Amino acid sequence: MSDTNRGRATPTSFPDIGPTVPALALSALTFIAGAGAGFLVLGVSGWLVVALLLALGAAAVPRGPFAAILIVLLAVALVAGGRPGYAPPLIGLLAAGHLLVAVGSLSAWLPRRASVQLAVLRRPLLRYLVVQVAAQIVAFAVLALIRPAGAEAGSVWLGLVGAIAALALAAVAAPLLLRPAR
Amino acid sequence: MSDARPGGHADRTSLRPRWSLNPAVGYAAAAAALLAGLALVTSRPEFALIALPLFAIVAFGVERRPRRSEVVTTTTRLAPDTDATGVGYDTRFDLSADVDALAVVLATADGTTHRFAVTPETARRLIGKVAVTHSGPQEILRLHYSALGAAGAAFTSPDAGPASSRLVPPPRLPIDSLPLPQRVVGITGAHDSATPGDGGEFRDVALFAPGDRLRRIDWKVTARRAQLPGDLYVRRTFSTADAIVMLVIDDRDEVSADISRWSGSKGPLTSTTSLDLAREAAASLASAYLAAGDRVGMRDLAGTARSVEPGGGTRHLQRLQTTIATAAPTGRPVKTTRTPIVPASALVVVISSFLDDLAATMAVTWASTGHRVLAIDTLPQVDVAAASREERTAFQLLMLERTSRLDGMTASGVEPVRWDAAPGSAVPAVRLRALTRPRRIR
Repeated sequence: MSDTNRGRATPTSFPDIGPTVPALALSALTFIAGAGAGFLVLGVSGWLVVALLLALGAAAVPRGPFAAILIVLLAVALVAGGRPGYAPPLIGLLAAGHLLVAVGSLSAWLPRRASVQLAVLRRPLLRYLVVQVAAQIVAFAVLALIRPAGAEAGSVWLGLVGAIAALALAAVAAPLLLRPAR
Repeated sequence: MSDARPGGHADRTSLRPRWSLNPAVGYAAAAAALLAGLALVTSRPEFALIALPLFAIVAFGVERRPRRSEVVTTTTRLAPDTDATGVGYDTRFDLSADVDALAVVLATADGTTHRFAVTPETARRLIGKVAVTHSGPQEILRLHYSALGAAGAAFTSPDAGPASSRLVPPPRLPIDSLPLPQRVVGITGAHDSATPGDGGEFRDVALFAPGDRLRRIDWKVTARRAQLPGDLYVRRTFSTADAIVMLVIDDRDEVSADISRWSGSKGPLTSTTSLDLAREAAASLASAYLAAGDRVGMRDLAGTARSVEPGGGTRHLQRLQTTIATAAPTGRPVKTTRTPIVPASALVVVISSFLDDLAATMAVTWASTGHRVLAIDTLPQVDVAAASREERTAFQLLMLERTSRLDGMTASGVEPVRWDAAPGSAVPAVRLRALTRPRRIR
């Protein structure tokens, strides 16, 4: 092979799959969604640091429980903060929490340095939009009719502890629910 | 599992994937259950509303649970490298309707690993081309895949697809002039001989003797010279003869231009190696000698390729090309090797990197027994830029020994030819032409 292959263009062994995005972009989106929801619900506070760390954990270790814990934490903080009604924090948390799980489920499956064909994201995006639109409509309808309850001090800690306890309990129920059909 | 089909060899695997719950969805289901419980306990609908999309994800997953009985079939076909741009591959996945997407990890012969995720429609046919920088047995393609199903709620463990290998034939350089052995043998062939016989140059005119053919009678000379009734004169000629060439390939080692890898490979070798050059030299010489009508045989020192006895013709060339392509090191040090038996009067071409004494000793032995011996030096042009100081020092010592070895061979009558010529020096074809000299007639 001394002279015969010199001067020829080296072919690419990567198959032609059209436009792609790096899998790391999905991890970045996870962090942005979690950090954005945290800032919207918690504002600039000490708990925001916890939320940012959980968002970072969700992006770095998508197979871990960090996204779920973050959602429960922000939900409890939202209710405990006494901001009732169909307001921007609820709207943002509803959208971001759903996005965290939707993108996290993809990141948990993808190789870290993979190139993701754009068409792969089409179905998850459609499911997200359909579910999100329905959830926002339901939230508006429910919260416009019901008066929000008062805030309870210290309930943010309840959210953290309760989330960890419930994860262990639901670990039994979820596999039974989602096992492959025979 | 592999099978051969008309038009191409296909490598195939059919595996039942092992589905498992996506941990992200599992934890999301737990969080949704907790939020629903909090909504009941605190009578705050916000908890239930936040849990609503998470329940929807779980519901989608339940509705689209994959079936365990479904099988994933992967088929890969390789196309021949007809234009020296690479070996084409055509990989097809046969997936069930439960699969939403497929992640593939593709390792190719050029040392590249590609990771990508595609839709099932795209996975039905994936086409690419792999640049092959080496000859001989090559693993062109190896892949692993994982499927995503149940609307993202489940995925499979990575499974191995088929590994596709190909015996890449070495290229052949054109060689115009070829050195011949000390003596040519036989009574038929492509070269002139000093032996009386048929087919060669004119020798003389002599009286008819028993054994001469009637059609050799020269009537004009008979009419001029015959003195007695019954005197007949015949034209006598020399016969033609064969040259026998034995290619001895030293495939015990394979070293590249990067000397930092000589003590052990740290991954695929991307530059031309000594064995690539050896195969190229052997294939070029075999092709040239057989085209000239000579007989060519082959021996290898590692024992991985079978020996080929001298022969000629197109089929013999194909047999040689295939055998040369299979020459490869065994991966273990070859401690003792017998000197291969070569026919008498054969031109022996020893193709080696001459990094140790074995091939050189054999070459000197053959030269001392009357064979004409060519030593084709297949060590590639070396790059020491990436080597450490210790490696450069070791390399210099090795090269001093090698130079001494080559000088010893030259002094014993072995004729060296450097195959991977440095820029500005004579290419192998020119050097071989310089070795072409008039044959000795016996």
